[in-house]
Amino acid sequence: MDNLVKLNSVTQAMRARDILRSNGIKANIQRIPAGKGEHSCSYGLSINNNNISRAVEILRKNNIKVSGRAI
Amino acid sequence: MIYLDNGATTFPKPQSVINSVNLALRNFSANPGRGGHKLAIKASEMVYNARKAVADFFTLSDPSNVVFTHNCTEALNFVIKGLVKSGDHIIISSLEHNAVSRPIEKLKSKNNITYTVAKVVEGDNEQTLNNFRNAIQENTKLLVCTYASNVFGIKLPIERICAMCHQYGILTCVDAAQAAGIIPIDLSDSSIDYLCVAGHKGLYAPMGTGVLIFNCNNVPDSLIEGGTGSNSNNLYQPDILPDKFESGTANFSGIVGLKSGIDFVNRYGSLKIYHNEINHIKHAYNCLKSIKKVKLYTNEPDMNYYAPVLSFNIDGIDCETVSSILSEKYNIATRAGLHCAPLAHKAFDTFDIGTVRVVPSVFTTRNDINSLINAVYNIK
Repeated sequence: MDNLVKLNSVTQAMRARDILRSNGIKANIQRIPAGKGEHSCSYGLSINNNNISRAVEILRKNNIKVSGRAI
Repeated sequence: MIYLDNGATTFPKPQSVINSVNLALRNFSANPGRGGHKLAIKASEMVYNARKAVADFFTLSDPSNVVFTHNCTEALNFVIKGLVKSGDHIIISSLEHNAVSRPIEKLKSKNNITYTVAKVVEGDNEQTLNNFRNAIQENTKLLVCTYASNVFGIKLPIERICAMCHQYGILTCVDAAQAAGIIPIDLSDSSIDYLCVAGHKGLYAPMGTGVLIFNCNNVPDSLIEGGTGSNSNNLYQPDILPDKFESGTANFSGIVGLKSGIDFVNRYGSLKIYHNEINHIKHAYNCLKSIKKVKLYTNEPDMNYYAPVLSFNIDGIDCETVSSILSEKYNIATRAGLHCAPLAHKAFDTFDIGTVRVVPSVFTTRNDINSLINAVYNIK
């Protein structure tokens, strides 16, 4: 099962994806669907549930702000 | 045509740039950073790859700090007008383009700011640095200066000036329109806070492309607010880079062309390009010097003190007439007049007469320069 991690922009989402990839975590870019948290025309990453905590920590260490999460 | 007006824009563009723009327009021109469909994500990816290419080219670790603008002028306006407030003081050089001097003059007339012009002394970086130091005041907020003159090619001791400004807590903004792609610029160990770049000159991108690179944490106010493709529920302009300065639809095909242009320059190597172009200008300078009626304005150009830009006049003939004859009779493109840089012309006493300017590109050959020399020799 994948988690959705919301980022502040498509650029942040792509940067986050690249950083996670370089740390061995696969992440796919997608729009955050309506109903999965506030609908704000956002981009996010879908990340496997097993990796989500580690992914968020890696992003935090790289100064990438995760602005929301949804399952 | 022998095209020696590369200071205005480089021409021709490399075939790889043309191909990439063509491909972008044909196959990928969905609006990047807007939709979630495959083509929109692909377009977003291509823009992001261009951002990474710019970041790598200038040795910047975070591609988010690369903002795409429509030209270098827009980038400069974003910094100048977004940072400077009433009561602030700015330092500029005596060689600035109107892209720097006009927004500052506007701020002076409307917003109670002041500015000082620091004289650049050709061939004497110590004196130039002293002149900048002497221009500093208690309320100096920002230094804005050109990396190299678009009229006379003179290169400023940029890193020394910027380092000196940092000692006084002054932010630094550099107009690299004539330098980027030719003179290597490494931001990883630099006191340049904001680097403003023209995509369509030394980076061989289409016109309508520019870059504003942030090399510090001080982000100016936005000048233009609008749709950025995310957080649309919020009426406030995003505060994050690059979105804060990228409202509205981007020049997608131009940005793709910019990446391709950077790839082209990387294949050659900036330093090699610089070396070749300075040699062309040096050759032009020495040949023109031997023609009695030709007036030159600088010392012999070299890589220590000059970008590859040369200005001259022919005694008794208006510069626009010379440029026109070069174009009509000899099929050689140059640019005459004040080159949007009245300050530079005032510094060299050519404000009333202008000059003819010659700027080579990576496609310029020695034969092109020799053709120019022969043409100038024969103009009566």
